[in-house]
Amino acid sequence: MSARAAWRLVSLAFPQVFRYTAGKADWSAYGLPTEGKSVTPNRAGNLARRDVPTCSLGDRADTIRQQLQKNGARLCAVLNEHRVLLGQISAEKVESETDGTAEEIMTSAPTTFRPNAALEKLCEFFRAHKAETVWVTTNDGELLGLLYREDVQRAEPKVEEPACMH
Amino acid sequence: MTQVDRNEVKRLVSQGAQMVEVLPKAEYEEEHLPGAINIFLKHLDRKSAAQLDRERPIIVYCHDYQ
Repeated sequence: MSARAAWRLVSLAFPQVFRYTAGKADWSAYGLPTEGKSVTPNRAGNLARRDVPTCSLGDRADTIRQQLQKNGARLCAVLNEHRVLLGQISAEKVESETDGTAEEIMTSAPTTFRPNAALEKLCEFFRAHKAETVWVTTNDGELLGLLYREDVQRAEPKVEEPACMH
Repeated sequence: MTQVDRNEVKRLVSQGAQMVEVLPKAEYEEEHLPGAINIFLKHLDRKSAAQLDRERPIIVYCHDYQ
């Protein structure tokens, strides 16, 4: 649709016409700001915590354990040089396996959501998987943050039995 | 006509580009890029395009690769 619109503008002699091929879906999937009636702060990208411990594939377990302790965190994201999420390591894992590298002890390819995921979808996920956290990444897999069930619950409209609790 | 990615969109907008969403009005009203105006493709003609500034770049977009 945007291709035809762009060419139509060219045919109307507009000299500088550009087509944002990936469009609105791409824009919001990167957590970039949008306007309109359905725009809400209760999306994964806005609710995710950004101060997440991270490490590289070659980092040692004891270094990761220290980092988790320092941050009071239970999960560490394993990233490559492009900040792409490759895996996750829990505090329990580095406490039981003190000798390996991140690559050896991580859980690969954890579940992720895009930053434009709506509250209802997030609630559904936490309810179905009994999970406490889920990662938020861009379409390219770049880490944006970690979403906590409690933050999603807090954002839910106040009802007697929030969906995330079921 | 040049195809651009989101980083190029940001750069062009910072230099004064105009953004046009060519989806139907209802979809535009639900959510659109900041500052974008709406000219639905079916309504894009000489008259509706007259609201655009010929001196500035124009970025058109829809939902995705459609």
